[in-house]
Amino acid sequence: MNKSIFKYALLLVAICAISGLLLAGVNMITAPIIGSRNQINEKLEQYYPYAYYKQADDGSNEVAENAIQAYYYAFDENKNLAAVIYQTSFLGFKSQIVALISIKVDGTVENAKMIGGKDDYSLSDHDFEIAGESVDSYDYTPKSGATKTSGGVGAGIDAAINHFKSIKDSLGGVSYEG
Amino acid sequence: MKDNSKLLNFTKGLWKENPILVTMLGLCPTLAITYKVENALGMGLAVLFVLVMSNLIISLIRHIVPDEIRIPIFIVVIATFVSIVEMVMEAFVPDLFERMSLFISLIVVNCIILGRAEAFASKHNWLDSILDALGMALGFTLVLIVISLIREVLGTGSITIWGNLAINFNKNNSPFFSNFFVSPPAAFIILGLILAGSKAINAAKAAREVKSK
Repeated sequence: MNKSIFKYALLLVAICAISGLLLAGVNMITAPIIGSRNQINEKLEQYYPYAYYKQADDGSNEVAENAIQAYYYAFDENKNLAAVIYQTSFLGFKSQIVALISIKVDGTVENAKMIGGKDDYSLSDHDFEIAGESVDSYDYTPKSGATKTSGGVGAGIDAAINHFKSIKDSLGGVSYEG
Repeated sequence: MKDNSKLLNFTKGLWKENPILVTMLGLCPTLAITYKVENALGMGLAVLFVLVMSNLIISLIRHIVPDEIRIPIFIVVIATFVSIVEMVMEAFVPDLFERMSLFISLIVVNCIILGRAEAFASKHNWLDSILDALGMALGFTLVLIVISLIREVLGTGSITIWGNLAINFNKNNSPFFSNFFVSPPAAFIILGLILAGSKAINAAKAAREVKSK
């Protein structure tokens, strides 16, 4: 009887170990993706006042360089679409500069936040003085003293504005539940 | 003859032994998540993966698993594949995962999975077990899709899949479409009607067979 219990316990341990290894392998693939999304969600909640965020389906969330990596729809408390927030990655002085650029549904730029990059100049606390500018008339001026770093954000702002103009007419069909 | 039995292993889950319509298993997710076609597809694919993989593994290890500890071992195998589905869904389809995470976790205790492991995979070879799993999972998925199509169309007047508006039947804001159909009581009513329909079809078929004899 004792011998059987030992054998059964050993078999269960072996199966649990195999299961654990398999789960660890899958976790190695999925954890970075889930982690980076959670990080972005934290940044969105930190920098923006909206109640709900939803990633657009055609946003890849991949680490694409010199491009829009993903974009998010931001909704108010009543689940009405309030803004489109872009996550962009463009080359700065020493590294890729990851920025969040928010454009309200009425076509005014809300702000731009630098959230990633290894440049010496940390512009993450600056709003790039673009709040309230219209997407139709906006013209980005690089920051003196941090020309290339801010240029990485500026290229992101230009890409975000161009993309926003291309989807502006279809924003009426975007809903939080859909 | 042998080929026929393989085909039967696959087809029986689609209608004759359909897990929802005949054995009435897996009713909890059937009622809870079928307010959207997208949910039905997600749940169907999740169950398909878990059922096929668990049936395969349980069939392969059936000779080394002692009877006394077979249920804990089945549960570990099933829970492993459910955890994999959860991790993959959270990473790649976060919106769908957010809506269904509770019911994805509950696949571990879904009677269809444990039932097929105990009644079929632990007694048959791997190929038959896979065919049985495929048939059962597809039968389950098809019924989920039928219920969700009825509920989503009658409830919202449209069918939305993966965030894109696929078909809109309600261009004139018709009062025919009512939110009632996406509510839980409607799920019971629609499932009841579908069950009644399937019983009526089976009864008519049986009567025809008796008559022909």
